[in-house]
Amino acid sequence: MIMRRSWLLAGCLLAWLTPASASPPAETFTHASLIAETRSVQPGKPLSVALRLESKDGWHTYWRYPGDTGLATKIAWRLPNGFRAGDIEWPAPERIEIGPAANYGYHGEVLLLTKIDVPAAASALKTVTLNAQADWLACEKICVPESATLTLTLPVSDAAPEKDARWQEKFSAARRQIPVPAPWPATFGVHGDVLALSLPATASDGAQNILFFPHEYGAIDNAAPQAFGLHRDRAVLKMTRGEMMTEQVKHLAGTVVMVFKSGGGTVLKSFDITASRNDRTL
Amino acid sequence: MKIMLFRSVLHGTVFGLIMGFAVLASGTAGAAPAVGKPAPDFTGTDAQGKTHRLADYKGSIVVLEWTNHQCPFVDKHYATGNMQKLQAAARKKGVIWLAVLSSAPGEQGYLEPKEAQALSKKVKAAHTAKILDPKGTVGRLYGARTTPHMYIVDKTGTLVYMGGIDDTPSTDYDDVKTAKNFVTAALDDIAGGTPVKTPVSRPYGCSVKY
Repeated sequence: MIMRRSWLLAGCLLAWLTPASASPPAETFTHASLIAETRSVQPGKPLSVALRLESKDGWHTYWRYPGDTGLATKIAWRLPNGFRAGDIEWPAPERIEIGPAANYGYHGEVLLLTKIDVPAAASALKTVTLNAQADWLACEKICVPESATLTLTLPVSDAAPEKDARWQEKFSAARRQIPVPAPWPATFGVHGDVLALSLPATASDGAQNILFFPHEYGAIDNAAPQAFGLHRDRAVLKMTRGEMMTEQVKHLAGTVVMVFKSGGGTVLKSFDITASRNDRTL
Repeated sequence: MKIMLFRSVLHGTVFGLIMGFAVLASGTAGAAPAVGKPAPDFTGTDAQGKTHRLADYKGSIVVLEWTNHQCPFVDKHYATGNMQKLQAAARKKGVIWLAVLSSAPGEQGYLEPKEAQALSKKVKAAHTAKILDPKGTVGRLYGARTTPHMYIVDKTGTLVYMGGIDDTPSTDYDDVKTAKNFVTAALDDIAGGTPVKTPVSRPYGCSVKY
């Protein structure tokens, strides 16, 4: 049985790798599941759920802006009346280099959290079933489009919901990776091909390094190196201008990840920023 | 594949390093072609063994299409017939269409000349020629990052478009119907004698398998 299934899978893969065939194999390189932070749903209170993607060794999936290649993971929700799903709360990504390209994504396991608004009228229900159609691109060196149709059924209870012990730590860890809006102002400037992002030095707070992940194509050259340094009262990250960074562009949106030393390892803190342009930043 | 963690920089030495970085960065960016500038000249050999030099096509519009038939994004445009349709429509107007295959031997999409010929026949490709670039020379010269990645050179040899084939990054066949095709739009602008309205766009697809 197992044998037959793996043959079938190999057959699908081979068939798909030839140009004329239609549907790719689902979930060969990345396993998807839908999990909830709590064991029940409380009417009128938001619920936190996650698309859990577990990629095989060496494989990865993508962030909201995937970088030079790849594709952001998508979730299409089908929910009971009155329920509403928010956008994916993307954890800060890794930088993944492939030849002359740089991508932004996640190796191994990632939780893509989504807040579901639960209507007060849900009290009329015994259980609720959430349906999600997830589409993602799994890549190692090569890429395979994968998808899954997932459902999650939870009991409805007026009592404050209990955390699901199986997932509590994973949700907490995922939340720590989700960028918060930066409480400090940032500016950027362009001079020739150099684009410099500048933050108050106090904001970097002893960070060993800073990484920048743009939210959109063309702001920076993704594959070019980024150089972090302190300059008087500013923390400056020098990068290379992207193809769309013309003189008319006045804002730079992205995620700043600060790397701190802690014990033997590192701790990351991420912030979402929209930097205003000031070419005298350089 | 490797994940690059950025080199951390000691605060005391940072400015010397930044100066070094500026030189390095302009070297990287300077190698990439720019819209409005002469398209970098190259000589390539096609699947039939014929040589093509870009400069020899001065007087014609040239489209460059980076390809890899095993990439799901390329598959979207060939399985739906979209790419072949674009190629045929462009060539009918006298456009030279060069597909470029920069996959290295042993990498996804690499084809020997005979295999490349057979594939073109099988998928009814309508390009002028398929340039085989197993060393990635032409690909790197153009900074080609994705398959597909599209470039258009006008009759004077100036690069007038670089970027995606359309505005819908996906592998979904259905999206071909609703996407705005940037290559068609650029060729129409050129034919109408107006500057290309979208001269640069986001290329999307698989990485080029150099």
